[in-house]
Amino acid sequence: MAVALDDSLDVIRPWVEAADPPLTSVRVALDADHRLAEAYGITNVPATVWIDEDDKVVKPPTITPGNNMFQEFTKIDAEGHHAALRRWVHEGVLPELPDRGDGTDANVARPPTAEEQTGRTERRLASWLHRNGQTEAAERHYARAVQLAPLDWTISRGSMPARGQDPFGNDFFDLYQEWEDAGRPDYQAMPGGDVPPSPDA
Amino acid sequence: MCGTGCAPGAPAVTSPVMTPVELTVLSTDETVTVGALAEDDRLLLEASAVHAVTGWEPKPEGLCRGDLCIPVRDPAARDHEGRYDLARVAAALHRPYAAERLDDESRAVAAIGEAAHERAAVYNDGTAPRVDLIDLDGNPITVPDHSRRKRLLLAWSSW
Repeated sequence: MAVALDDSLDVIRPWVEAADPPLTSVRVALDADHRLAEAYGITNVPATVWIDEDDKVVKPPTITPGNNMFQEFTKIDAEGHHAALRRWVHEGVLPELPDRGDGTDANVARPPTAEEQTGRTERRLASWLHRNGQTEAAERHYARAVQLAPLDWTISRGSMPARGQDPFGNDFFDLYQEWEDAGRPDYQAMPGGDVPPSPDA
Repeated sequence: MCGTGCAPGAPAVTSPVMTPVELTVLSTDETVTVGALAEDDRLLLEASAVHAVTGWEPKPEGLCRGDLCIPVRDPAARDHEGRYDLARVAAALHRPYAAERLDDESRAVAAIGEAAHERAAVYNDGTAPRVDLIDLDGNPITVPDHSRRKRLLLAWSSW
């Protein structure tokens, strides 16, 4: 299942149509209110969650680039996830996830702070306002959301298109720098492939 | 009319303006539309509407869901007609809240989020939540499905 954290079907349709190979066996859905993102603790993309036959989440969100085109920025070897996925599917073996180093359980999504929950709420309202033509009110709530949860990229980068900012331009470079300075939080990779550099390196 | 100690030329005491609004509430699970009264920044709801938008039913003991009731101690949570101030209901539930009136004064929207501890409990429980989304044709789709297979959920975006 490929769930898009975007504002409308019109925005995502060209991406789906351009997919090569075509997404014939993948169910695509739109999560404009970021309800699925919140339900699973997804704060950046691309991310995968693994769900087993008993509807248990057996792997929390980890960052899963499809390939290594942007490895300079992601510092993640895409093959780590893909190899681990094959092992789980064919052998039923789950990967050992690296410790986050913050005292939280690496096998479940990181618990959010109160500010992050408020930020999600403000963003959800802002997105609805934007989609319903209340542009000025939307901007106020987007700004508040980003202030509350600046390092949740689904909030700070995800709101850039609606706010008239470029998610691939200077506004994004500023976010990237702020996030790097904060130690690249919530960017959990899978072990395997090329060993990624440790967060302290 | 004016209160005691009226002086000549004292302003009349007027009732606050209450406007009926169609209120759209964005909760973490769904979007629900109910009738409400808007008074300045307050959104006032009948008990049945509070139940519909929060999942918690107002009772004499407080806001109740199953066997659990949370007392509402805030005296300003209800108006003189017994209607509920939605912002104060959200506060009693420790949930984030944000709301706006629309340019069309007969409409309003509010978002009620989940408290951090509630969200953490869902993560720790480990059961995969089911969420109602829409597919590329605009039709409802539930993710994940009920297939009892190993499933890979990928979150992506245009940004």
